[in-house]
Amino acid sequence: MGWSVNEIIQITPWGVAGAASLVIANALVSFWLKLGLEKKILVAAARAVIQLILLGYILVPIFHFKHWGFVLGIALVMVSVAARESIRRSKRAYKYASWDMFLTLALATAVTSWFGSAILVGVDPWWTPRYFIPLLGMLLGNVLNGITIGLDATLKELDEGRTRIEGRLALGATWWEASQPAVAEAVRMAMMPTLNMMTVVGIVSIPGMMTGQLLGGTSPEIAARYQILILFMIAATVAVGTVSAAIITVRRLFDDEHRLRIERIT
Amino acid sequence: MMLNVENLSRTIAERTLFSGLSFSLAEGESLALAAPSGFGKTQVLRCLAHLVPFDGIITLDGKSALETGVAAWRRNAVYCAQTPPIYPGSPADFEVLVASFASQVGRPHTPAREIAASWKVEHVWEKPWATLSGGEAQRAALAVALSTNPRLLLLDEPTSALDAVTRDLVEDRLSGVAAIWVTHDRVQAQRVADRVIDLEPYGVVRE
Repeated sequence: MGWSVNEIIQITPWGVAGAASLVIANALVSFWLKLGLEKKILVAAARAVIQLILLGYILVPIFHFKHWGFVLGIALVMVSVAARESIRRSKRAYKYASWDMFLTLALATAVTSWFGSAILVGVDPWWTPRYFIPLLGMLLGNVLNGITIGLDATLKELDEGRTRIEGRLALGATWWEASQPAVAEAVRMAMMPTLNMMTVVGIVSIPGMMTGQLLGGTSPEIAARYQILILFMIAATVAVGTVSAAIITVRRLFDDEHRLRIERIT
Repeated sequence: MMLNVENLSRTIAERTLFSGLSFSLAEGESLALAAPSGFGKTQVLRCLAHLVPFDGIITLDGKSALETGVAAWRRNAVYCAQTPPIYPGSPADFEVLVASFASQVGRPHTPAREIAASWKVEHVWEKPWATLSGGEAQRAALAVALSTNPRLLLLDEPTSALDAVTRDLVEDRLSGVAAIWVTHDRVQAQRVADRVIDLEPYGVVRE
């Protein structure tokens, strides 16, 4: 039996409204249990609805407007918002953190999304918005979490492990020798969610993207191939992103004379 | 002069702890710094170890830390904190790690375990730092520092967690080692150091 677009069951607006009743049930539970979350749940749900509907409309012209400058502009906006969000979510930061995280996110996602689009999928030209923008969004969403944990964990290790790091420095360690254990710990923590996800995928969880493709009528083999590709790209991007974020963060917290300047944490 | 300190001052968050501090140390000499509490004696040692920003000139054998390289400087002027941090692993692991620092590779090294044995802490050598008592950790950390054979030891209350018997063992082993001692104990200062200098907030120095 073949798979074709014709078999997609269209979701009616009533179907979407029915799904909203599930969220309202959430809010009611929160109300009964006095969790105080009902307002947050409703606001978050409303935001998700508005943002996704807008995305649905915006993507139509974006997918048709095939100019690399336009795609670059959209990509930069997406990366900037992700960078700002990573700083906002982290408990600690430092002076140039937003700029550093912007560069880290841009570099990590640029390399893998180019590789995925141009080499792995073979899209021509590689920045074709229909492929490039969803790919970038998928990568950014994942690497954002990794970078936030990486930044926060690195600063926490430096802050709370300050005497350990200075103890190593005092015995002739360079800034890198003294802080390498802190970087390793931060990267380990930041990579954990991605590694966990790869471990259980397909057995415990069917990822959102694959589910979407399956419901949208793509054949399971194709959906699985795309999902594998995406998973590996996510893993690579998260690894590059978190390692760079951790190293840049540590470097910013040391001065040129190998002194840990903990007062730079804000 | 082995160590020369001229016009040293240290400011933290716009508060000047001390300024215009000058003193020097001859080859093989040991010095004790005495000052009222709150003066920032620990900060003097941290400046000497180039762990914190400072104003003034500090030279070891005629060279500043920027001339020798900061890591090489710290290898020569080793700072021992009063309370050692809890390192991952055991003192033995820490000794291996320290020996692996680029600034230490190829340098003469005395097994720290031998020093630890003479200070009666050999039994904790393979135990996790986190399980060591204050006095055990203090001696273990000092043993690792001494094992690297620095030109100068910067000792911040190095026997504060020790009883009189072990304190004497540590003092015996450190006699003849070039060191700057910070101690609140006047009697100990007289006992361990060739010279005692009194620091005053704006310039020094009474001997």
